Amino acid sequence: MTNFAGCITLNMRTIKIIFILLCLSAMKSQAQPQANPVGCEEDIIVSNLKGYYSQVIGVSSEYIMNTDLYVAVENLLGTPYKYAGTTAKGIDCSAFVKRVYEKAYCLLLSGNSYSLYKESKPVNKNNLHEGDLVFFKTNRNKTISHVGVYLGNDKFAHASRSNGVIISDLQSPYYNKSFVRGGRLDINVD
Amino acid sequence: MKPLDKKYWESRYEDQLTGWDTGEITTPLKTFIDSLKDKNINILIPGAGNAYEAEYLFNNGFKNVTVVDLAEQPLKNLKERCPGMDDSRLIQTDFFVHDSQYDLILEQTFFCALDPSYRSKYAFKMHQLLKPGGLLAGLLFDCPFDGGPPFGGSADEYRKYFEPYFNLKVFETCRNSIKPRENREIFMILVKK
Repeated sequence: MTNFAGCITLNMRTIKIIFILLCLSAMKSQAQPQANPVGCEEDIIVSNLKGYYSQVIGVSSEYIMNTDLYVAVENLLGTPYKYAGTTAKGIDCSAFVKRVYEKAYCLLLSGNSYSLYKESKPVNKNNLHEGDLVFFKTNRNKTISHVGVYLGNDKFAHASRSNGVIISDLQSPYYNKSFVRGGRLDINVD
Repeated sequence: MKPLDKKYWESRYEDQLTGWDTGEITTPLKTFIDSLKDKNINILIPGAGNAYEAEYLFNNGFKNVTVVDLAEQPLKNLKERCPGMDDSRLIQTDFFVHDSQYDLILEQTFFCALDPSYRSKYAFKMHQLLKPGGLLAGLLFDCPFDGGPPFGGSADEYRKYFEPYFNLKVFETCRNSIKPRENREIFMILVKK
């Protein structure tokens, strides 16, 4: 299998987004297409994933299309919260977002929730789309202190301080009150 | 997700199972390209296959044309037909890891070659690859297929992927499709939001 070596760094003002070439768990499986004769095991995993997330998000399973995104979330679901943690042993909100973006979109983000907020294009609640970031002010200082990844139907995945990586609802009183806006990343934003 | 990798596409070219290959540029894209005034713009043709569009652009004085494909054979074919094309712009790689900035990206039977689970990622990636105000233009099948590739779909389904990232300047049944694709494809000009 080709071992991708290069990576490209693009400077936004403070965010560095690197297109990583290890990309897509799918590509790895593609290297040995014969190894799994009918690919049935993978089909079952994907179909279970779609079934599960269609229940959790409350949409029909045909809306669960971007399997790389859901696999990325699924792999971290239940991970405990740890401030400045970046691994499956403990992770904080911005590290969670970065892991998901790396797996799902081949983008390596840097910075904390506030810098991601500043560098993303604003998206209001009614226009949120799968993969958008969602920002919150959950502290008394009223600065951006929390970030998650929007999935659909008001549900978002995030590393919560009290519950670790979970899927929550923007309409729940706590998140509804603390929600600031959504954000869409664009490497062209200056 | 079925593997549609480099090996898969190279074997399709080797076995000449290239039903998508029209042998020449299609009328809708030719008409669109003929309407372009600035020949210095940066143009990308991803999943280009034999890239008749690239050949047409090159022969019509567009010098900044980049072609990306997973398979080696079609890129070699293109180089044989257009020896003057810059090698560094004929890139054998996965579209999703390609990184550059373009004014225009042309779509012709690439979207439908991808497993449908990549569609929303396709829209995201196209948005990333375009300069502010850049265009994604081309054709999408507006019909279902048994199995795939090609994977079919409908205008309503496609809009869901594109609307978050693009203004849909043109998104309608194509009026000058080639015969076998008549009334079965959408012509689109999407402007990066």
